[in-house]
Amino acid sequence: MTRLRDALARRRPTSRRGAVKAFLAGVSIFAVLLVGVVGIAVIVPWVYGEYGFHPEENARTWAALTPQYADTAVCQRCHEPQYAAWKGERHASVSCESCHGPLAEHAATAPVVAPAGSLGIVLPDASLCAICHEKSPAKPAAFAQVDLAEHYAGGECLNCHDSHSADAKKPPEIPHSLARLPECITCHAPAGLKPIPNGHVESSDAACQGCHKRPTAGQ
Amino acid sequence: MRETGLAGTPGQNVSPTLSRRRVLQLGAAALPALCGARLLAGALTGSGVETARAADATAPADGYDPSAHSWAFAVDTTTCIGCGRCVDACKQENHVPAEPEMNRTWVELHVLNQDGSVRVSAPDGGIRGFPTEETMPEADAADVRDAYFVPRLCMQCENPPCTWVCPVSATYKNADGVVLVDETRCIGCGYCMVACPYGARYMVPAGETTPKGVAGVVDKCTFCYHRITRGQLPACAEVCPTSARIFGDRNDPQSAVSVALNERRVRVMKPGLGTRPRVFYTGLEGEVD
Amino acid sequence: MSVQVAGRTVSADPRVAVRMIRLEVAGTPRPLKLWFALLTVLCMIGAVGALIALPPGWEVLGTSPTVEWGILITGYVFFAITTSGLCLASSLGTVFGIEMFIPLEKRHAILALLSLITAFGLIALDLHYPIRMVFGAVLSPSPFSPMWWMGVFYGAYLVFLMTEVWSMFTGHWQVHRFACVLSSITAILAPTTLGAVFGVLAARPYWHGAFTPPAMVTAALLSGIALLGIVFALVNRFQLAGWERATTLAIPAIRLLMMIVLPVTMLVLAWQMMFGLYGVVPGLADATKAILVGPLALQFWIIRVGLGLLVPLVLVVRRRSRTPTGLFAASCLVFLGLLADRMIFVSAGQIAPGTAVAGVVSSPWAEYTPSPVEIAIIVGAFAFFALVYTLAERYLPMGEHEGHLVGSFLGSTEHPGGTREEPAEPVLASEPILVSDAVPAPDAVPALDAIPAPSVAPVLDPAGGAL
Repeated sequence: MTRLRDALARRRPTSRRGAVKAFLAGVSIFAVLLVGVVGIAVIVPWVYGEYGFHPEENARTWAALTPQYADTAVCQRCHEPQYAAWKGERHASVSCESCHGPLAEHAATAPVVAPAGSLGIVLPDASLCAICHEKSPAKPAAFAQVDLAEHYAGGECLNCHDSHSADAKKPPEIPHSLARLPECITCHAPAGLKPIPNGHVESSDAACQGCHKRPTAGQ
Repeated sequence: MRETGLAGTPGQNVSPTLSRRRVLQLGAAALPALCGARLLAGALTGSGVETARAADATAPADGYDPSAHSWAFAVDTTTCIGCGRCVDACKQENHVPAEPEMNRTWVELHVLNQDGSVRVSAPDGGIRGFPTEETMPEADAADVRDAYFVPRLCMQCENPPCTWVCPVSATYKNADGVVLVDETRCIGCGYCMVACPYGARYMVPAGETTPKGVAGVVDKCTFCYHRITRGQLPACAEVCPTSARIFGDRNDPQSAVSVALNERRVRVMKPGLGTRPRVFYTGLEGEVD
Repeated sequence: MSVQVAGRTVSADPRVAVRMIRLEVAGTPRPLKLWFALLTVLCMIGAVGALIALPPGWEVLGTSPTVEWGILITGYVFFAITTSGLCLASSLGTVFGIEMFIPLEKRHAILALLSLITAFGLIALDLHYPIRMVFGAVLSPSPFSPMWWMGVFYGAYLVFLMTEVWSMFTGHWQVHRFACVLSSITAILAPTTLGAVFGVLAARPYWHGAFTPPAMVTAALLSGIALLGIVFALVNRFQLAGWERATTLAIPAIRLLMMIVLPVTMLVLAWQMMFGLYGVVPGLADATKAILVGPLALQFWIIRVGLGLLVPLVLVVRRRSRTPTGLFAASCLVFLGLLADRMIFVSAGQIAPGTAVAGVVSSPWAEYTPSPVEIAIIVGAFAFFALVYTLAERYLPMGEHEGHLVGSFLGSTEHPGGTREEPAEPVLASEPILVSDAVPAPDAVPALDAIPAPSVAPVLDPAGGAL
């Protein structure tokens, strides 16, 4: 502490000339700081100029990006049948692109008339249905969900359900007894007694009977 | 030893490098130095990162005034089914890196057990849904008291910790409430990433780019700024099949989000941190965040 | 044309210069040659890693959105606190003029400058756009950001250190003393800003809190002391410049500092762990458990606490190990323990995230494994530091300089004559070391505005000419 006091004592001016000098030194330091601050405030914008920090400009560049997803109203312009089936039905809360992916570019560039299936849009299959409709304790109880092991296991969702209106046509049950009959495919071949509808895969008895359940009473 | 002040006294050339003449010479050299700094600043701060995407023909709505809007988000966890369409839509809309560990938005499954413990899971961010066998196996069915899905995204806080800590002011809160990142200024230090209490940010790795074609900078949910300025919904809200994500302008009392916030009891995540998020949740239990 | 380097003339003609270098290399003692060779190889490894990691090669780092700050940041923090600690420890000599710490003066400055340069090199490799940082920090500053202040203070610290080192070797003693004071002030402020970088983050409970900046200063002090202990034990061992006074003064001084700071550090650490275990702050308990019983436990208990604190404390306290060798061992262990400590600190704040990050739920802990490139860079950084310092020790005059007054900048004190008389033989034959008899009594020191008597000035002329 004595050292500090001595140091300060030595610096204290001892004559009027010294006092004036000290005062001028203080004023000039203050003036330099003032000029420095004002100078920086002026020079920095000049140096950095339009490269300075202008968030509004950057926000505009974010706003100028191109959307990849369109609105359902845009889809309606060309796809009226699907739109009519979808609107007002149980899937009406699911937007077109929720299943069909981003389509803004398609909507902007597709020719007015194009053969169905020619534009390479992803047509979702049953695995997409399962993502929403597989039964899970975490989903709200009121939401339509099925245990896939028990709900026509082995069948294709889209065989019975219309994807846009979500209407389900229950598959007709097997009306006749199965006792002492050959395999289903023997009679229900594509060109056979009762042809297999489109969309059905030629497969084993178990696959057919997964959806076309046998009547429970007797065989 | 007699050392004098830096400038020396007349006649005593103690330090030739620090004489008055030198100081004046330095001052005179400052002008060309500043000019050089200006040129260098322009060259090195990465101006001109416009990509083909940014310079697209479809311009935002003319006359969009950020200060006239106050965007907000409401999430209803009682209706979310964990389908993950939102995660997929966001990745495609916003050029989010394909890596499963980088998402602007994601869905979590919260399983609350009888003993009070909470299990949180998000397989690949929820982008392929939550297959029951994988995420809620039969084995723990009896222990589960409640389970629900929680969509997560950037909270676009009113008092964002991320904007406070950026050393170069690269991330900022816009007048309409959306927090954006200036990719020409971001240095990739990751400070905003560790500062975010909600884990909303990620660093764009080399090999991927932000929608503006830059890598090595921080990216995050922007409420699909390019869509909302055109009157559209963010992509995640657009594709949500159960209306679990509600978006709108709080300045408009008729907007979906204003109605939702008025009708429901909502809360935000981590309210104790004072971040004041703009994303409001319905249906969360107390054990969560 | 020729160049003066450390009192020797080196010809700028390439052939002659190469021959001189080869002669020099041939004249180097064998162990030293092996040391240089080893360091050069490790530097090469680090250089290769650095080249790979330069933009846009950063995906070779092992970081992820959950653990974004890896060992490169740890290395930066470590070197940054070391450089501050060096000045903090030596300020007792350079600023306050305490005799015991005077021998630390030259070496600490070189070490601090090198450490800071290494720190900046490491952070430049971790930042994705380091050049933008320099421009952005100046032209779009963010005074609310602790990292911005850290940049300001460490940048200023670099300037002050460079001034200190330059003025030390060119004999501008007034400037040197001024620079020492500024460095010492910045050496306290800068690690507090570094601590604040971590401490303001409410999102990371392990780092959060007003105590993190002072804890960082404590770690800085310990790190600086440890490095000085290593260097001065080697000065004693190899009888380098100024070694007699180093042995009699500096080594006990360093030991004293270590005896004070080690228990303080242990107490601070113990309380940090206990607060974490209380479990009142969400997230803090998880991070503390990660350290005490989780993935960081081995590192913590064995390297940080056992080898890094307990063993060194025993070594510096026990009478039998109060030797330069004992100090060397203790310092090496403390240094290693501090590196582990900073790694634990940076990891613990991130591996218990408490929330999913960018869609990834980390349960129970997040994973981070340093990639080979990161390890190579860290190894190269240490090798670079050691290599350049060894060269400086060998080719630069490292004895005490005559630019200090005992009592230093704030005013000189009177000495009972000849405190600097011991040791009897001068440290360097050509160096006039005894300044005390040229220092007048305080009342003879003139006021600032009086013209000094020029007759005293010639005492300053070093007989050797170039110092």
